[in-house]
Amino acid sequence: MKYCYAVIVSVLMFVVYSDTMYANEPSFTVTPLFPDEQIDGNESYYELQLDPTESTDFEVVLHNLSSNEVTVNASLFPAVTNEHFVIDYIEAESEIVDLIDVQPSVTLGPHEVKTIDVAVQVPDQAFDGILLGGLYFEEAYDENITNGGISNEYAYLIGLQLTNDHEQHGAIEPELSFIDVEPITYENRPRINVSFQNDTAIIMDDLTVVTEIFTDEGERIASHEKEDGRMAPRSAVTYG
Amino acid sequence: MSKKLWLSLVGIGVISSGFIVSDVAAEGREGATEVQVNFVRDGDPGDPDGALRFEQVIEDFSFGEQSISSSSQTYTVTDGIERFVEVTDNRGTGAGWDVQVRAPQLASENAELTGAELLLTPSSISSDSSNVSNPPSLSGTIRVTDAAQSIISAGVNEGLGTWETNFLPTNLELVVPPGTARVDDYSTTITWMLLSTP
Repeated sequence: MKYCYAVIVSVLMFVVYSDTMYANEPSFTVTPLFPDEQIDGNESYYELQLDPTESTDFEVVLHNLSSNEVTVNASLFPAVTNEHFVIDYIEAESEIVDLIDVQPSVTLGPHEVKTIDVAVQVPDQAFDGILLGGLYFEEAYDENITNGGISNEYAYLIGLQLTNDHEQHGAIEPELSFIDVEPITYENRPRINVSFQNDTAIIMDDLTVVTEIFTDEGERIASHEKEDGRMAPRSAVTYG
Repeated sequence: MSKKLWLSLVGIGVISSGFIVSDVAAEGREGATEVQVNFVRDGDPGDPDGALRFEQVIEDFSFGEQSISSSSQTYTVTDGIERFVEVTDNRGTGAGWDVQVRAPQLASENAELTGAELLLTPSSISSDSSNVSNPPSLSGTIRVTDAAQSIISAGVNEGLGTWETNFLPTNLELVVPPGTARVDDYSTTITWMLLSTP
């Protein structure tokens, strides 16, 4: 009789456990392989120095950790600055998109290791500073199956930075220029949108953005401070 | 290419420590003993053990079935289960990493849940008690939007090894203002991104 209880308990535990495993364990990893043009000492993201007209290529290793077939989609997204002053990598128009060619997807068998090819071509004309993007890897799902509520997915992003002259961009002084202030309606409420841009081809770090709104009479009616902001090279930001 | 480099590093480590041992043994002289150890990434370049990776991402959750209210309401996760995000950095570069989140506004097949705020607050972060690396820092409460925000951030020499961030059920919230909800099913997908970028 005791034996019988033990069997039932262990079966129940197994069901709970396997359900958890299925729900939230990512099924692949991404490992960068670096070409000769990689700046010495950086093994974390791509930081490539090439002369004008030069090109190179490299591979990114994908490893399927699961016992199912997994298709991984790969993309190159340019670095932009979003409303939170975060460097964000999203689908957008940018010079770097035309310079980098990424194999769009690969299908891995159970526990299989494969590579994705990436080709890089720098502009014919010399450029200052850096061009910045990121290689984005996500699992391709058959369909977005939602059972209501909040689904959770995961993705990996490895930075890809191009330069003609690594030594030179430390000397670039960051410069901002103002674009616009405009009243808008956001989520059915009035809001003031402010926009400005990083005119330089370098990342701006440690930005503190103080925004104050005054009436015509000079009375301050609202203020907001954002610390530790960042801006992508040659990017504009709009926030409200 | 990279694999060849690692192999040669291992080679140097073995040769030089062998030399030190024989030197000391042969002459038996006193003085400082040189001890050397070289660490390399685990296995082949594709070996997941040497990668920066998610071990787990939080499970799907739900705010259940709620009645429409004429005042602003805050809902928490209905199942009362604690959730985890676990990141391992065994690259050995000490360069740090970042977990960012984004999600479009909750929507049904018919309309967005305008003005609703999906709020995530990482509760705490922990690692194996023997991990001597500095812990990554956690954000405060984040209102998840289409635009990415950093929720777990490992700076230089932070977050090496495996780090688990937990979210108590009360730290996954949905705030719904009056006048937006219809009788409908609303959902969204949060994308958890693990970044290694400048």
